Amino acid sequence: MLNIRNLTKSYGNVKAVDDLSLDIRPGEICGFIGHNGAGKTTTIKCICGILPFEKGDIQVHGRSVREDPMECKKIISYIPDNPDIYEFMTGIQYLNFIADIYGVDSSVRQERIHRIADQLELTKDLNQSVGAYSHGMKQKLVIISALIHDPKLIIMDEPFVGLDPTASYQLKQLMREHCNQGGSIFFSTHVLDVAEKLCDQVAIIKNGKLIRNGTMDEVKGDSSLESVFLELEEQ
Amino acid sequence: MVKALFRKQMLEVFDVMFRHGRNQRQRTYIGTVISVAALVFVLYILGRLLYNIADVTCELFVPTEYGWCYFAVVGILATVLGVLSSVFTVHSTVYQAKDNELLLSMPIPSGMILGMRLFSSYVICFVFEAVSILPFYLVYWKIYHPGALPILLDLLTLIIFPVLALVISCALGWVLALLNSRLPKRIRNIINFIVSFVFVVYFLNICIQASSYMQVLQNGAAKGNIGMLIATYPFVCMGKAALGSIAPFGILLLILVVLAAFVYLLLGKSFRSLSSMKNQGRTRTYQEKSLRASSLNSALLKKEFRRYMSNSSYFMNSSIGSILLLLTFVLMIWNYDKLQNSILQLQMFDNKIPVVTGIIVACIMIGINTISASSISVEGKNLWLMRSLPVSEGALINSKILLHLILTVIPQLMCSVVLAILVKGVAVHSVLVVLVPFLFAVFSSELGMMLNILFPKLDWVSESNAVRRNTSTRLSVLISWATVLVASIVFRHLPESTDVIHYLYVLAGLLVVMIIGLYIWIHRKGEKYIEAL
Repeated sequence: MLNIRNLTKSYGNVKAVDDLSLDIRPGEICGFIGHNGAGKTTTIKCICGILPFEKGDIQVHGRSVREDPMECKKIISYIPDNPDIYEFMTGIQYLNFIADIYGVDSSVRQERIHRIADQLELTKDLNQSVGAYSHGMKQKLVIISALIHDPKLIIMDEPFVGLDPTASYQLKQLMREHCNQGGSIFFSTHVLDVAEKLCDQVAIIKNGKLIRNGTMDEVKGDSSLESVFLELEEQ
Repeated sequence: MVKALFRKQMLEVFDVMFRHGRNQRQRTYIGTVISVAALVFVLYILGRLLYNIADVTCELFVPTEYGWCYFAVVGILATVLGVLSSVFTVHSTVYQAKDNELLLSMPIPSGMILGMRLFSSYVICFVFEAVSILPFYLVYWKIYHPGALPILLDLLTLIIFPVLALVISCALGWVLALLNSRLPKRIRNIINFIVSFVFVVYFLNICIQASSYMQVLQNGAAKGNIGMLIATYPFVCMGKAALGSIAPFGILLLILVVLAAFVYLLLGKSFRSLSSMKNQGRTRTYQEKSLRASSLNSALLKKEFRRYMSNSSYFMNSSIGSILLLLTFVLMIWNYDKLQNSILQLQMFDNKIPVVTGIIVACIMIGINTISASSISVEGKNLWLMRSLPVSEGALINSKILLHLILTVIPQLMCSVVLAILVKGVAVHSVLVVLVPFLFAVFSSELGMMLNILFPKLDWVSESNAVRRNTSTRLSVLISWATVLVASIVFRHLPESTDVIHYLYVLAGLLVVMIIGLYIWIHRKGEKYIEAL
């Protein structure tokens, strides 16, 4: 589903991502972990076509992000770490706008919004202006909008920040459901317990380089993900 | 603490001179000098224009018994300019600044935060008022050599007088903030629009009727009309102080101190609650209803409209030209018969005058609109959305230009069609009266877009920074007006034998060339610039 080959992205002379290669298969959830400034968000933004990159290639479902960004964006959803969304719209206007952009059929969007908003307990607030939403409510709205066109690949940057325990649980359920239906998820997180329980695959990045990648069992072995991560960080 | 707050606030005001909007990097020394020089140049042009007016009028009015009236009228016009330049800035800077909560969480008294915000608005008022009053003082000093005391009083008046404009702006800003806290969002936007519209129209009306104020001031002073005396008293004091009277200066100072203190207390009392207000009025619980699907282009245009209508600061600041065109249309219909007679008289003298004048006036008004010149900047932190969605840069640009065109061309066509009917007789004249302003509207929308792509301001703290204190909006108005000015100068110096129709054909042709050139630049280079933002 997602194939990254030798991705390199620099800001001036500083290499934010250095020769990173990674593969995610359909139906897999891949956790992306690393310290602050390791290069997680830069990698994510390159995958989503937000940032251009100098070297390497990123393929989503066989299409190159560099060559065919529009087609890739049609099958990707991106959930950023900070939900800066249109505060001049109401929640339902925002969702309808996103559905229009992806060309989702009226009845289909209606059903999806109804189902996911109910699940995340946001339905009654959809008539409110987004400007009046709390951080968690905005995050929920972004999650609903990310699922509205049934993407093949969801890219999430710290998706659990700001969510209450119930919404966190619901999001994990939604992530698992999405992968059970053949989709894939690539998400960055600092919550290692969540990554350990949720992910099929894990990738650890340090100073822009991928230092460990594999299935959860391959990476952590008999110890915990936290101890493996801390050990790698100290090296 | 005061120093740090002061520096932050001043950096916000003058940020555009020291940092590139596109890459947020510090400008080079030369870049800063050029940026400052450009602003000084714009202010100089405005000041020079007023200096020329003062040069003609000063000797006519100052030596009379009511010489102070002359400066009082200057004070009224300067206050109008100061209020128009700061009224929406005060509302968005004081109540809608995104760092309000951050500052309120720090150990800073809320009064100090408010004071610093008001001071930055005072600086804006001061710049505009100084540019409009100083030329009149300079001419007065040059002709009458009034001595040290009057000059000192003039300079002190120049410093204290902008407080009056600030007080008026604060009062309206407070009313808007209070309305925002009480009303549901839908009604609130309409009320904001009506309040702001009436306010702008009222002040423009004052500006238009400036000459009659001389009489009002004289009557108020001479006949003891109490209401008029109170309303005009600060201006009467200002006018008398300008001629060197100490007592009126003292009274003016006292009035301004009292007014400023009152407004500061009024705003201070509610600043914390209004500025940290989160819930914008009561909203109804969502009742599920069928959702209407739109095409991508239609969805983008609707989004632009929603953003435009969501903030009175945005639409009132960026569409003054459309408002003026609408007002002109109403006035043309209202005075249709009178206007027809005037045009007939002019046509008997020279039938090209109404055509050319109509086109110039329409183009000047069209040039004030800066909707496209601020449309990329207002995206601010939301820009990631468009970058991550399957929306091409071209589609995004088109939606923004289309918004500008719809809001400009509709009132322009309304005015132009009425004028075309009025200049009946020569069919080509009627066509050109509609066509040239239309082409100019397309040109100015593309020009604004190009400038905003080159000079975007995405890291704004308050939306007014994106709409008003923005290099692209200033340049857009300046270049549009300069284009009209050049076309007018060329027209004035045309040989007698030249047919005005031919000149207007050439002008239309040049506009078409510029439109095509800008279109190509926007869709070839501009899209790449947006990609790199």
